[in-house]
Amino acid sequence: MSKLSTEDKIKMYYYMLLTREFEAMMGKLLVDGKIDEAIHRSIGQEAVCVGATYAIRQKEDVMVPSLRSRAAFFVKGLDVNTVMEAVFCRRTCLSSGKESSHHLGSTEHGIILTTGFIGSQYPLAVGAALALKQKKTDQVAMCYFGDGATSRGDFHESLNMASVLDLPVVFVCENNQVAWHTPIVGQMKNQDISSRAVGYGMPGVRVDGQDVVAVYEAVAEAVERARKGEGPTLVECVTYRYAGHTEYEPNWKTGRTEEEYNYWRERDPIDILEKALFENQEMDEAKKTEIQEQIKREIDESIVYAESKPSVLPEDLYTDVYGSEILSVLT
Amino acid sequence: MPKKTYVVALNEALGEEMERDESVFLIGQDMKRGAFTVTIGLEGKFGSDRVINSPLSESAIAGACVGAALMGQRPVGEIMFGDMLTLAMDQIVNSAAKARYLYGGRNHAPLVIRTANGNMGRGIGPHHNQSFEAMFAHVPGLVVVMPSCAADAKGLLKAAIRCDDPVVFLEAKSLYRIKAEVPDGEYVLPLGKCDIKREGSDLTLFVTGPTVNKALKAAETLQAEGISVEVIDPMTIKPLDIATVLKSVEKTGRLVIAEEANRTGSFGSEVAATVAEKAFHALKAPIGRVAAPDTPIPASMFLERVYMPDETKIIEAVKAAMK
Repeated sequence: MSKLSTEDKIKMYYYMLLTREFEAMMGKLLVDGKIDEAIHRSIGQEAVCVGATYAIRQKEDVMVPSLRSRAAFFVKGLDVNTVMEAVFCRRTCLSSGKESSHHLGSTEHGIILTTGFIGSQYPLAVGAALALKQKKTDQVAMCYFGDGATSRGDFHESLNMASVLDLPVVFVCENNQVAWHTPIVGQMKNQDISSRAVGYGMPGVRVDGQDVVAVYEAVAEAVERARKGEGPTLVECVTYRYAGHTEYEPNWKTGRTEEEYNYWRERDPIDILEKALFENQEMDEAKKTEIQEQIKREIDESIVYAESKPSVLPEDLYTDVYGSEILSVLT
Repeated sequence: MPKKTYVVALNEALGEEMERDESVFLIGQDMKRGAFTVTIGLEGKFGSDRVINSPLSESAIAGACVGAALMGQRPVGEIMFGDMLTLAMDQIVNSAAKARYLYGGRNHAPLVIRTANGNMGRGIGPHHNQSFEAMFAHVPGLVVVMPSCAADAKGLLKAAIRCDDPVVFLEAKSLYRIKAEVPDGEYVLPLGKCDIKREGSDLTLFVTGPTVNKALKAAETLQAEGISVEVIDPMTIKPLDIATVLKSVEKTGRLVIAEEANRTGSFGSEVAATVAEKAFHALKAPIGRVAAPDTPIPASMFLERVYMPDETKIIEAVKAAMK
């Protein structure tokens, strides 16, 4: 496992800030009536997807996102233009306007199209890992999911199957301690999700999800294990969501107390990394400004890009339900 | 022509396709032998990398097939009994069926979910005899296949494995042990095409899966009474080759639909609606329907026989339509 360089940490800072600013812009676009997507902001939990996705190979490894993994798309190599094009549901976007930007698949970037159901994504990652094992490469699969998602049966079936079959998959839980309005105490009796790993005979690791370096290190270790054929790991990153479940939430603090919220608001992952970088003199105000300006420019340009792309047409509704081979004789 | 059981025909299809294409693999429970010996010998021949024994987890089996297919493999997942497809419903309906569409055509999920489907006729009860083709035919993006005999089972399974879309393959388990003619050598049957199993001129009998054999026997009996019945087996339920059905109804003017599934919302109800919509003026009599009643399937073999559509019920329906 390689140690993170200054350059790596600055990149991670960039990805976290990009995600936050991108989603803030999405919020503005929604209010302005320019987009339709029901935004699931990841504000407050950016370090989890950035730290974890940074620990896998950008091109060759495979990732299955959760509904709140936008940062992972950027780290995995989707550029800002491509993501914004999908936000605008353009005809030319990665889903041809058929899916929301937070569910996208891209084979070229090792991103598996995820499901719209919370907790149905694990078997997709298990299957991907199975294919990788069959191909005898050292590639790994990564699966993202939240705390609420672990209450589904597919969680059990998939971790069980992955461990029995010794598959190269890392399960990364973005435990933001709430599922819509239901706090974690309403979701499970034992709130240490990583402790379930024992039941599956796999290592379970619990890490501070606000510390992007700690997330990276824990996940990188798990990835290394998977790559060596030592099977799956469950990594639980404890984090917090500073917004509602979706953008349409007037009372988005429901299910959480003011003290709890304030405690976690003080532990902003971007501030934590920034503070560390400044203290180690790995970043200064000039560099910070440069990154902020770069992000603003990239986002503004991506909107111009997306708006220049063609809108979907009525006939697009009917395409890609089946491949054309279905009606031809196969002998 | 050699005679083989439906199970042997399936086993041959699986072996041939696995030989032909390295990306084809099997996953399911108890695969060394399978509940019905469909997969027997394949692990020995191809290894446990390609014949994967899964824990008892239908949803994960189906979902893993989707994940592997999106990575370029061609999985054939086994769900032990057709009834248990309900345990895999989410992954089949929401992940498999929609993959190509939601990728905007940039990727697709070539997979087969095969299962021992339909009534066994041996009193194995309400949870081991059901036939849900209508539920899957209802979902855009799925291919649904119901082979009615061993020869078709082999050719259609090969086609299903080669198909680039997700296929729900409903094997007629009541025919598993029955020997029938199965050609030797390589052959693949077309998906999306009806098979006219028997030509006739007085009435069109549209029939699916294991009910086809009963329909053919009924047709023999009816022929002796001077009624010439054309038996159409769709083979592929979805997408349905409705053109062949309509052409037949235009010729005969009468239609009876026979199937094993419960009456309400059955696949036959879709066929009846479409024929009424598109060939109304060709019809000389109301469309007749033979299906199971809207009850669960009881364990009592006596009640099971009361429940099941059979030759007698088919003959009655045909005669009613001939009035």
